[in-house]
Amino acid sequence: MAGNGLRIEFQRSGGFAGLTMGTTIDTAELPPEEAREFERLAESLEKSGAGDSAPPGKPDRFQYELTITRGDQSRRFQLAEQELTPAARELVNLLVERARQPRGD
Amino acid sequence: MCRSCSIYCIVPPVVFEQIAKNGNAEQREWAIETVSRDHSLRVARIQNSLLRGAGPIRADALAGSDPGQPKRTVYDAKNLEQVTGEVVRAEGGPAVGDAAADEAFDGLGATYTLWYDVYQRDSIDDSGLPLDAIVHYGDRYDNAFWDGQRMVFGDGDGELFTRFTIALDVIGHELAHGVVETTANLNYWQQSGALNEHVADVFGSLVKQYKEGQSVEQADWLIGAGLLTDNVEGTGDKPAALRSMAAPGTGFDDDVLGKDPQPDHMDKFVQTTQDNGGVHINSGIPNKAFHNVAMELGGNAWEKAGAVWYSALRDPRVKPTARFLTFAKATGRAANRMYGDGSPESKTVANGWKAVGIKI
Repeated sequence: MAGNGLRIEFQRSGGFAGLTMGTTIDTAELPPEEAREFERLAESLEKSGAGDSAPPGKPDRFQYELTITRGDQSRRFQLAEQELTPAARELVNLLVERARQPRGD
Repeated sequence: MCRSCSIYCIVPPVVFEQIAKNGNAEQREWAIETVSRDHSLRVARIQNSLLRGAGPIRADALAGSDPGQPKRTVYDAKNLEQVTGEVVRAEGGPAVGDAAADEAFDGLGATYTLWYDVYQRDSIDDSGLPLDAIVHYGDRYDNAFWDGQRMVFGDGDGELFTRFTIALDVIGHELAHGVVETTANLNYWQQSGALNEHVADVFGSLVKQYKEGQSVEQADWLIGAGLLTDNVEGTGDKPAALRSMAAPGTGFDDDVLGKDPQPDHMDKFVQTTQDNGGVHINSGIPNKAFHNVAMELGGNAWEKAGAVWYSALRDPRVKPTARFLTFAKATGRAANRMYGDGSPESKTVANGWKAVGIKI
């Protein structure tokens, strides 16, 4: 990406618990392999045309909000768990994993 | 109208069937009021059909042939995000030794029992819907939900959440979402969404109270007690739960999760776009109203308070976009129908809402 990182701000809300969790990643700070994986999945989401408006909620399902920033361009995605494409699901699961750092770190 | 005998003394069932199909709102209101004075099982089933709105009354409602048996099947997702899998336990089968599968099976049964025994509702859709569940969904999946056809349970991450089958009120809560879907069908957004959550918490808690035979004083009024790991701190010296109907805002108070954000009064209503407009947050307000009513009525919460709430859920005036006030008024009308205008029960219902800032 010509030395430019990709920044993803991520937030999950809803679920039975109704708890919000989130994380922010910057691919410039990640090992190359991981950075490429986020690049690939983010690009897939951007091309999918999904996430421009909040989909109707379903009881106790998760909702996700992602803001993807490339250089000075930002785009916000609102996604519902029940409507994720396989690639978006993979991206969300990776981000949840990162948001779920062990307690007390 | 004769109150001491079945309504069939006077009105033939076919009339109610016609009203259910073709009646206007006023006629249906009359019919609902009339049948709610008769507490026989057969009449309750006709009332369910009336309250559901248009559509014929099922033939077996009149025949009274419903067996009242749940039809349960539990599947194993084997930690994939899939809703099909191998059958691990089916109706009539013995316990299998997998805690998640056995808890799901027992929880579906306890939920069916409350709805059938107490409210004469035959499963989620009141038409004997088989109850399916899939356990071990996803990898450390932190959730449980009713997807419109089945229950889905995750194992939890082990860090904050343990397995979602562990708390009976969670199972009762999720299946109550199915009941809401087939009754008032409240939109899952803002106040109507918070009412959807509220009704799910009420009947989730009642499933547990009925199973344990707990009076209003004995009940813990917690949602998700036991679901959070020991890592999560409760309020004061209490173990953590997700929500408290008795004291909204005191479920947990933890370094990582923060503090339970539920308000207990309209003055503290939370405006947000997250969580579908705070559906899991503002549900604290009607939850507290229900708790107020149940405590003042005393005894077992499923008997009077639960019956009033169930009737309100099926009130034709409670539309999918209903707000707190609309639903509160429906509980007031239900109490008037069931116990009489100006009865102690009606006053208690009005007081319960008033205490959370909703005047009906």
